[in-house]
Amino acid sequence: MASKQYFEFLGTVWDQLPKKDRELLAETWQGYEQIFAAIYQRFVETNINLSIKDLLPYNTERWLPYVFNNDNVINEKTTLISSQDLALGLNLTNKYLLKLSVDNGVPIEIDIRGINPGNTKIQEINSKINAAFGFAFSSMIFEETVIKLTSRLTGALSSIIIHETSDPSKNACEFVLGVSVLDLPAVYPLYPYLYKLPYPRVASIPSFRNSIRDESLEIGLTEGIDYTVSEGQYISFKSIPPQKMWAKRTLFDEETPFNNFGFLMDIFQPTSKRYVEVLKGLWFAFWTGPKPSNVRTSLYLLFGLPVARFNGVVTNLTTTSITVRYDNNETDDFQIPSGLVALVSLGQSFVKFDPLVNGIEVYDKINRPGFIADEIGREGISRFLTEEATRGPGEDTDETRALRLLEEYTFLPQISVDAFISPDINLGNVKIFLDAIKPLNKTYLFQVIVGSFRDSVDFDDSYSYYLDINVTPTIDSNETTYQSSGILLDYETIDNEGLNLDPEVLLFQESIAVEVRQGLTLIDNFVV
Amino acid sequence: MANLPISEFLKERLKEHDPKFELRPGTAYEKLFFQPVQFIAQPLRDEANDIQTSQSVRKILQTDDPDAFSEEAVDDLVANVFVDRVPGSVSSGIASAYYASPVDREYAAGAAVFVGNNGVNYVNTVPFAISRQQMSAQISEGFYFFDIPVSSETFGKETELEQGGLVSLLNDPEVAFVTNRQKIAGGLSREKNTELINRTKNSIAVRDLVTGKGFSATIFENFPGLIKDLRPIGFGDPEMMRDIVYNTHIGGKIDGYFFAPTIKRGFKNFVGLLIDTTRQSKSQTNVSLSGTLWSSLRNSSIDRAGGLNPIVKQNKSETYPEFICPFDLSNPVNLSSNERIKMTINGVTKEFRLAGISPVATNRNEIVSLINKAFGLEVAKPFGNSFKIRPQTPGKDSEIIITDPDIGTSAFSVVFGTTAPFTAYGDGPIIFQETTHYEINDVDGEIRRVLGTSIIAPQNDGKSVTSNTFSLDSIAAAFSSVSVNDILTIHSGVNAGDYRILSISLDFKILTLEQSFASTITSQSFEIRRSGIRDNEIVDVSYYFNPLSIDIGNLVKLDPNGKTRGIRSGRESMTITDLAFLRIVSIELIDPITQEATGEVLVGKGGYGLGSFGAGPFGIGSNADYRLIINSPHERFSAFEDSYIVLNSGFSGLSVRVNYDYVPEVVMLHDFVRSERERVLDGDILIKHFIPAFVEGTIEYSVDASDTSIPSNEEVAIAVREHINSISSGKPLHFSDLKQVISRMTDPFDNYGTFIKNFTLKARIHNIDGTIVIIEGTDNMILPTLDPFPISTNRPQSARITHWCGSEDLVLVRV
Repeated sequence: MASKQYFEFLGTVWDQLPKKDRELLAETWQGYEQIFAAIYQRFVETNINLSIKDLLPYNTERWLPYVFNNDNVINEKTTLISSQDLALGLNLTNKYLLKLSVDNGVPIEIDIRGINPGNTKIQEINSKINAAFGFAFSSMIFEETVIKLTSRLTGALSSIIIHETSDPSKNACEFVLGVSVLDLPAVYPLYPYLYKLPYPRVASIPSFRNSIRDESLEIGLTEGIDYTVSEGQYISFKSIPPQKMWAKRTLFDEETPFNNFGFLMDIFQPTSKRYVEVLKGLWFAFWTGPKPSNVRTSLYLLFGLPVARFNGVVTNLTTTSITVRYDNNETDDFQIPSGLVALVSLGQSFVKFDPLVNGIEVYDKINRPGFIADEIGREGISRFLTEEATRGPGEDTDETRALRLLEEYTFLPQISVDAFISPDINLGNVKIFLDAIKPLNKTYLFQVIVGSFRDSVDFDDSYSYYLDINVTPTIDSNETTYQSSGILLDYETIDNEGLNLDPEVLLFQESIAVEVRQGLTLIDNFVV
Repeated sequence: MANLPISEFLKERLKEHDPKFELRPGTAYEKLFFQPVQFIAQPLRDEANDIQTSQSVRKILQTDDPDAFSEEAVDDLVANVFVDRVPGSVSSGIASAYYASPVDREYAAGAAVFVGNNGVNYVNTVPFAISRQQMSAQISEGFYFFDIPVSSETFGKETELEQGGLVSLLNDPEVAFVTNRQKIAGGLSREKNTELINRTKNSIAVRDLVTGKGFSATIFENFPGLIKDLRPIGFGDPEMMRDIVYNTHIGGKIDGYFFAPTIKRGFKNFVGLLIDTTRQSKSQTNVSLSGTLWSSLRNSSIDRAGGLNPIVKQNKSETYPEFICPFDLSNPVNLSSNERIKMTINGVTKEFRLAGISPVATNRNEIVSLINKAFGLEVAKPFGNSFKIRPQTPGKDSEIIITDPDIGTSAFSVVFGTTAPFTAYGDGPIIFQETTHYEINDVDGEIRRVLGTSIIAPQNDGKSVTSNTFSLDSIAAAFSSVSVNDILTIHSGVNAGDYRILSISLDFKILTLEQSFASTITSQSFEIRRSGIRDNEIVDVSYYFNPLSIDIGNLVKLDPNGKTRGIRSGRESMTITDLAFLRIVSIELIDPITQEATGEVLVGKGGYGLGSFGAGPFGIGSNADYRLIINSPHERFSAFEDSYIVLNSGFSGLSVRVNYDYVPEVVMLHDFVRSERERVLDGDILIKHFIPAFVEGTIEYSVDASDTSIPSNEEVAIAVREHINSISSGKPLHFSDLKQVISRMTDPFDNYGTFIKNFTLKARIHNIDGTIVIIEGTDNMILPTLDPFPISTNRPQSARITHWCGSEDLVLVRV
């Protein structure tokens, strides 16, 4: 609606202007309002970004034009990278079929079993797929551990579809490609029309419109439905977009959270709402000190586990979700990660930064007397013993004394493997945080609970670049070492025997090879 | 970030309203209504961008010149995290004005303006007046004078002025000359934006001394200008050694390493050195004992208090007995019918079950853990596909005996070998007995051999069987009275000398000797004495003695737990109390009356490495006159320093001056971090100076001799040394940077008037245990870090707790 109201302040003489001219001026003034609203928003956002309480992840610019034509269209082949690490081979005894089509071609069903179906190698699967399609449709990446499918055609004509197999009970797409059978048919790409954006560092464009004026609006597109923005510079549409569109709001990733706060704490993550929440929590923790609750809450935030943003109450609770209403009447719905359980009950009040699910514990001598002996054991403390230390289980050995003494100045963040739910957990940040907040006269051990195994993971000084977590020595000789094999058989339990890997821990940004051994036998490995 | 295209936006909006309306560039509407708003909006956008930048320390650091960014904006930003800019301070001192005749002078505050040779003005900060009469009573060097307190007009380190640096007093034609008899000092530069931001980044934490960031923030805030570098080391850091209890790092301690802007040179005179009879100093030496002559132990006043008698040993190392399982145990073994074993290790006998949880498949780890469990010590370890057993202590008393059990079935044949028992013994030096084998003169510090009683009187017809066996054929069981370690003496010929007997044959006819004969013996005179030291044998002697010493440290432990600390009673005049004590520069003899140096400087080098400080044990071939003993390595360079200098006893009664380097700031930092107000409960913080790495060498360079504006060689040398001091701990020393410092000072406009010869520099790293490590470089030097870092050591050598020190050892020569 044009801003005609200004005529009311200009004096009646201007009422004599022709209606057409009056409307033209009103339209111009409306444009002015929008221009200054854009500038005003810049000021407001800049102002509130000074306070961590109100920190925004992105910066907004209003009313930017976008052109999509042959000058910025991108024609790429469709690719599908599996999330499954096949380095150890797969047991395809029961599930061994894949049904795929490429570039809208005829679907082909493939028996991908190897010579030994119980231990089919990735090379065998790769060969079977390529033989069936007659071109290099499949390839192996990450040192031949993961399958990657690549279409033959480029642009909007290219596609990859994963179909249900003739016998659904034999479909191996979940094992091989990481695609759940519940999602079939799975079509890639969902948005085939790819363009390069005219502006760098675009995080999001909530909507497009073909006009500036609401009265002229004919076409409106919505992010996530009609298109997606990726990598800050690409946009892909479901169908061919109009040549020119206006975005009322474009969100730019200027890394403001990092620039204003993360930099001061040496904590960097790609900008996101979650990162903002992490910064808020860590900022609070840094200024209020190394309390067990602060350390625990901060780890929850770094791992992306559900934490209350404000004081509030639980309004709905199921085995898979928690709904909360905060005192400011905002609400949040949290999914309870698989393997974890809620720590709150229906109607329960909580305060800001309270963890809402289990998954991470921080033990010290107060809340868990004897935690070194109970949770870490002799193998885990060997790095504290000097060469002269007497070892062994005797009562008078230095090693036995250390089991009791060490808890005086040590704390133990213990992480359930089920807590590794987020795709952008940065263990480097975990170490930076723990090192920065821990009292200088104390140290910490870091423990990941894998099933019933307890693995202490020590960070060393070269961690920031060469993160090397190797739980093998601890697994090789820990408190389980003296257990009978009958007990040990129950230690690693994976419901789906075909999935002899643990996909839930394939989610770190760093590349860390973790081997889990039972005695000398490799029973699992994964990359974090 | 992209900006809204104002003109395009307005044009498109109006076109949507009226597609026929003319809005091409140059039209009146476009000119009057579109372009002005662009001009109006642009400053607002710029301001928004500026504000965004000023709200981020990172954005400020990314500007072309962060130090030129508005200080007010930076101050406001960092104030949010409770950090304030160090404002800097003026230099202060006393100015002196000299007149040919007395005069009246009265100055309001700031009215007396003295000018230094550095171009800085120094003014009186309070009103000052002196009458002609008063001045007439103040005469020096033939002139009348007055002294007036002055301060520099501006802040900054550069406002400091060396003694005699004042050159004039403005607006006073009668003044003959002016000077400052003492250095005008205390100037501190205003903190730059980058420095302030860096400090801010290290201040995001609870402001106490217990967290790393809090530690740095607190110290830097409370001691601006006194600290150049700081490094806290705590539990989990490999350098932390103070937290070892029961051979375990248990935490609870914090070491705060600091580096001050200057290292001071101090000295103390010691008149009439006397042996300190209250101190026991340990020494170890190898001495050759010839005949029954006395040999010097190098130190007199042997002290046996506390039962610390000298120990004299054969010069031989200790070995462990060892059992290595001969079987491949990569697969489990069946011990269902071979369950038990009997084992003796170092005198402790255990008989126990060796079979695992599942006896038919007992694995190697089970066997190892069961052996260790039986003894309560880690005596068995995996070894390849097998395992080995080794006692925890070596030596002649160390043994392993493995045999069949008294009860039950034996696992010996399956796990340990074919024939029981297995026995192995360690070896080690003979410990000689005083009065039986040797005697010591405690007062003079001498040792000599004692000959053993004769077991076989001198007789003839001895002969060698092999090169190291000996017999006496004419008498059956001739050696029945001989024991192991008795001494066979051949009286003459090429084989003359003493031989230690290792074993006697069962028929007592043949002796096996420790040493070989030079040639075959057919018939030789010999005798055998009861055990003892061989003639000319080099023995290892360790002993305690009362040293001729100078103590270092005024807070040494006066009881075992350090409940009370101070200077040891009666040693006040023999103690250096200037801390942190970094190094001895020299020790010179002085006249006891005038205390003037005689010109004789004691030798500080000798022996292995650097003798007095060197890596080798003291007393082995050392020619040094003195050495530094560190009683408490992990408190070195702190206010708890406990060390002493031992001088050769020949200097007893003489007087010496000890010249040394020290850093006095340690005392106030020490008091601060250990005060009840600042320390945290249970937080045992000890402030230490960084391990110093003194850079030494010569840099030769030439300059354009016609350029009179070039600073003096001494000024350039000071700048180079200051640059070395400014390098953060752990960082390499790049020689190119030193060349750059010289070039920038002597050839600032790149006229190629300066030439610097290639040079080699060394650095002496004074480790906390008293040893020195010397490193050398031609292009750069890198501070070493032990790799692997020992879990327990008295020499935790690490780059990050070591700091380069520029001192007078680095000489610049202008050629």
